[in-house]
Amino acid sequence: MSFIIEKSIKRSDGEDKTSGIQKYLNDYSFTGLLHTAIVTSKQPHADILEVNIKEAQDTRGVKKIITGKDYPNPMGLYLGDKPPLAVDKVRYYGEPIAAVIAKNKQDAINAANKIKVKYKKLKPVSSPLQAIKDDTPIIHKYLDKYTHIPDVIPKPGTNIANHTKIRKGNYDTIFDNAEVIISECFEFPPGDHVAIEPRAAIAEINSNDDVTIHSTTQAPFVVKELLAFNFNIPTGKINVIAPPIGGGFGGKAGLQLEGLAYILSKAVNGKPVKVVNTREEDLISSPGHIGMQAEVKIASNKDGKILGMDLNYYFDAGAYADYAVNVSRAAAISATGPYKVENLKCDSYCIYTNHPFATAYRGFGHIELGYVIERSIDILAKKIDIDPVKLRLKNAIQKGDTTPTQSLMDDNTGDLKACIKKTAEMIDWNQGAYQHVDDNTVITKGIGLLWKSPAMPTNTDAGAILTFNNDGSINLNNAIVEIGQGTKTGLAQIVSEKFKMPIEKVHVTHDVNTQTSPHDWATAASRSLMMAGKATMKACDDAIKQLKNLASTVLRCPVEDLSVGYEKVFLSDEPGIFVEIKDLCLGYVYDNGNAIGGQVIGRGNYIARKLSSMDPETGEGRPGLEWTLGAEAVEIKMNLKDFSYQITKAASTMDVGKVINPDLARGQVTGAMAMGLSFARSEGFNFNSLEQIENEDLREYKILRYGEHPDYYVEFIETPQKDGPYGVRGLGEQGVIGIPGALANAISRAVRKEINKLPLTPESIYQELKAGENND
Amino acid sequence: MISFDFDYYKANNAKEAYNKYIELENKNKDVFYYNGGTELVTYARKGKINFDALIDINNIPACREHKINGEKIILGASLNLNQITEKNYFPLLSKSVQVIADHTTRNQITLGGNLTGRLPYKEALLPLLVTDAKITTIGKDGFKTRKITDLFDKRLKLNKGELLLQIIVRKDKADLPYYQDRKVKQSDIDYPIIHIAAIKENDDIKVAFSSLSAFPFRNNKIDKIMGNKDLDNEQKITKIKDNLPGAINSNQRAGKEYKEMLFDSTIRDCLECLRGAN
Repeated sequence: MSFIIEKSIKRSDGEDKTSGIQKYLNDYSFTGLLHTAIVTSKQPHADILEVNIKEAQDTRGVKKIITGKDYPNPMGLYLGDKPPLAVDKVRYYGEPIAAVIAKNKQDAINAANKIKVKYKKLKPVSSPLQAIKDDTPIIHKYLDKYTHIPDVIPKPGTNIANHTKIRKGNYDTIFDNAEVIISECFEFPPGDHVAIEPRAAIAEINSNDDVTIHSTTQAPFVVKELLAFNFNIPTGKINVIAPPIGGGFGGKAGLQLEGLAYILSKAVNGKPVKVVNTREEDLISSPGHIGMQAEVKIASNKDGKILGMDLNYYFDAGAYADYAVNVSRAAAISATGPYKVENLKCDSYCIYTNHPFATAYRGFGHIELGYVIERSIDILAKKIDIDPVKLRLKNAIQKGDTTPTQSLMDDNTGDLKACIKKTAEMIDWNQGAYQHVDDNTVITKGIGLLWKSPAMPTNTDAGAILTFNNDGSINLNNAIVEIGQGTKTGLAQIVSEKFKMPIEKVHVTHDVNTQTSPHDWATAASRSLMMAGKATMKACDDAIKQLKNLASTVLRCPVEDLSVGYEKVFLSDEPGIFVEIKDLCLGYVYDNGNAIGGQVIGRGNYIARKLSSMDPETGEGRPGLEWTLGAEAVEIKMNLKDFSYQITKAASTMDVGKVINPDLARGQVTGAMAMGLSFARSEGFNFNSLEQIENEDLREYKILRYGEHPDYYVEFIETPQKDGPYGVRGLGEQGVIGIPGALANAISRAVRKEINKLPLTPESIYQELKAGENND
Repeated sequence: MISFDFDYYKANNAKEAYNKYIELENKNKDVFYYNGGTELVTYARKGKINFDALIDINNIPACREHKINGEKIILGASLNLNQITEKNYFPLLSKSVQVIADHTTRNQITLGGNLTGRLPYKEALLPLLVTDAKITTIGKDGFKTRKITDLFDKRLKLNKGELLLQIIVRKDKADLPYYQDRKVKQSDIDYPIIHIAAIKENDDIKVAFSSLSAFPFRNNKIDKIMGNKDLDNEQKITKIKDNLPGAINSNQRAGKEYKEMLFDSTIRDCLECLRGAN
C-alpha cells in the first residue's frame, strides 16, 4: 500500500494564491529600479521611415530611449529572425518599435506617447494559404541569412519557415482504389493564451558583468542559454530567477521579454530595469497561439477501417518563427491523431504571415491537429453511416502499432479503447447523440480523441538535489517552475513516499535559480512530474543510501539490514533499534562529541532515453518519448433560431499511467477542458480589412467565463508507464486536445451541417449554414 | 495606469459642481464630471481620452436620491446599476440594466453615466424612452425638468457643463406590461447586438432599441407600426425596417445580415409576448 501517493494532498501554493498573498514579479519594486514603456506598431506590415524620439527625450523622468537600430541583430529560439525591437520594417500589428526607460512608469508612458513613427505601408499577408502564393510579398527577405537548428528547414525566397515531411507506407497509391474517401478543409485564427499574469522581466548587470534576470518564465535555463548565445555573454555570468508565475500555458517558454530587458539595462549602465506587459501588449505584442488552415483526405474501406491519410497542415506562425517552427513539426509527428494509419503522407508547414507571432500553446500542435482530425473522423463516420464512437474504437491506436514517424507503440502504450468506452459512458452516448427538445431546441453530443507526446530536444533533462535540515526535514531543489500546475506538490509526494515521511517535512524550492538549481530543460511539454519525478526518486535513493551507510556504523550492523522510513533508519527485522534521520542527516555526533559522516546530499538526474531526430524526407525517427492517450466528449444545448448554445457537459478519460494526486490531476484536466472549450467556442483575433487587430483587450477578446462552464466529468485509466516514476506519464496539457473537435462535432450534429471553422460563434455557424445554402 | 496628471474636485451640491465646471471651462481646461468612472478610467488608461480636471458628483444629494414620491419614481444620476435592480421600483429598467457588464462592474456603473457616457449602447435609456421619463438638470438657467424624448437625439443633448441630476418616471407607466430582450454575440458579459425594450399602454406599443444602428432610438412611426392591427407580424417587420432612423450596421459584435435575422425574431417575440398583455 502506498504511503502518500494516490492521495489528494492540498497544493502547497494554494492558499497564498487564492488569498492574494502570493507575490508575482510585477509586485516587486525597490529603490533604483527603472521602468519602461514600449511603442508598438499600428501597422501589420510597413517600412519604418522614421522613429522620431526628439520630443520624447525631453519629457520628465526619461533616462534613455532605445529603437531597433540600437540592437539590430535578429535572434530567436530555433530560428534567429527577430530583433528585440523592429528594425526598418514592422511585420505585425503590435510589434515593439521603441522602448523608453524612465524613473517611473508614468513618465515612461508619457514619453512613449510622444514618439512618432512614420510608416510606408506594405501589403499585408493575411493567411498561410495566401502566404504561399507566388505573387505574395516575402515577409523575411533574408531568411537565407538567419541561423537555425538543423531540425528546422526554412525555404528562403518563400514565406515558409519550416517544412516537415512524413511519408509512411503506400501513401502514394492508397487513395487509388479506396472505397470511401473524404476530403475536407479547416481553419482557425491565431489567438492568445490569456494567462492571468502578464509577462514581466527585470534585468540588471553588476560591475563584474554578472547579469541577473528575474522573469515570469517557464524556461529559466532556456532564457539563460539563449541570452548567452545571442548577446555573447559567458553562460555562467547569467543568473535567471523564476518565481512562481500566474499561468504560462506555453506562452512563457522560450525567450520573452528577457532579451529586451537585458539590452535596456545595458543601455543604462546595468541599472535594474523592469519590463512588464500591459494586458494589451501581452495579448498582441508578445506571442500567442498559432492559427491554422488544413486540408485533410482520409481513405477507408466501407466498414470504416482507415486505410490512409493525406494531410496538409498550414500553420499561421505570424511574423516570426519562435516556437511555431516546432509546433508545426510536433503536429507532423502526431499528424494522424491516435489512429492506426499505415499509409500516410503529411506535409506540415510553418508559414510567415503579418499576424502576431505564435509560440508554444497548451497541446503544442496537438490541439490543432486534434481538431482537424476529430472533425474529419466524424465526417467519415457520417459518410459511411457508422456510429462515431464505433468508428473510433475500430481504428484506435494500440500497442504494436506504429506512429506517423514509424516508431513502435511499445509495452507502455495506454489503453485508448478503455478511455473511449469510459467517456462514452460518462456522456451517456448510448442514449443518443441527437435529442430533440422542442421545435427550436436540440441537445447534441460530440466526441474527440487525443494523443500527445512531448516534442522536445532529444537530450531533454531534469535534476534533483536533496538536502536536509537539522530537524530531519528535507529540502527538494528542482528547476521546475510553479506555473499553477501543482507539480511541486506531486514531487513532494514522491519524496514523502520514498522516505515514508510526513509531507509537511518535505520543503520544495519556491523560486528557481539557475545558479543554484540543477539543470532542467523547461517547465513545458507536460514532462515535469515524469522527468523531474524520476530525478527526484534517484536523489532520494542516493540520500537513503548515504543515510543507511552512516547508520550502519552508528548501529553497528550491515547496511543491507537497514530500512528508512518514519523519519528513522531502523533494523528491518527489529524496528525498535533505530537512529533518527535528524541525528544523521547533518553528520552523526557521538556522546563524547566526536562527529562523523557529514551532511547528506542526495543527487538525482534524468535524461530522455533513446530519442532520435527525424529523417528529413520520411520523418522516420523517434522524436516522442511517451504517449498519453485519451477520449473526450462534449454535450451542448442549442437554440436553432439564433444558433446560440450552452455547453452542458464535458467529459474526459485519459490513460495517465498512475495518478499521484487525484484532486490535482482532476484539476489539471478540468482546466485543460475549459481552455479547449474557450479556444473552440470564442477565441481568436479578429482582423479588419487592413489586418489590424480589433479585439486587442479582454473587453473584446472573449474567453470562457464563470457561469459559462459545463459540468465536468474526469476519469483516469492506469496502464503504467514503466519508465516513469511510479508509472506516471504526462497529463498537464492533454485535456485540451480532444475538446475543440468534440465541440465542433456536437455543433455540426445540431445544425446538420459540417462546421469546419473556429471559433464557433452563433453568427459564424449561421454564416456557414448560409454559405451552404448558396452553394446548394 | 493613467499616465497624465489632472485635478480632482469633489462637489457637495449641484450648484457647486456646475459653477466649478464653468470656472474650469473658462480657464480652457478639459473637464468632465466624474460619476462611476468606468468609462473615464478605462479610456484614460488607454490614452483614448484626456482631461485636466474631474469633478466628482457622487456627493451631490440629488444625485443619490432613490425613492417613490407619490406618483413619481425618483432616480438619482449617481445610483449604481445594482442599486436600481435591488430596489426594483421600475422592473423594466431593472431588467434592462442588470444585463450590463458584470455584477462587480455594475457596482460602479451609474445610471447617469450610462445615459451620458461615450459608449453608444446606453441600455438604461430604453425604458426611459418608452415611458416618456423626465430628467432634471442644472445648467446656465438653473434647474430644469424636461422630457427625455425631447432631449435625446442620437445622444442626450445637454449644453456644455449642464449636469444630469435625476430621472423621474411616472409610476403608472413603470407598472405597464413590458417586453425586454437582449441578444449578444456569445457571452452575456458583452455589449449587445440588439437590445429592445417595449411597453404596452392600452393598445399602443412603445418600443426602443439599442445597438441596432449607431445610436439608440425610439421612433413614433415604429410605435405606430407595432400597434397597427391591420398588419400581421411579418408585414410589421418589413415596415419597421423601412422606417428605421438609422441603418442596421455591421460591427464587431455582429454583421448586418445576422443582426437583421436576430432583429426579425426579436420583433416577432416582442409582438407575441405583448399580444395578450394588459
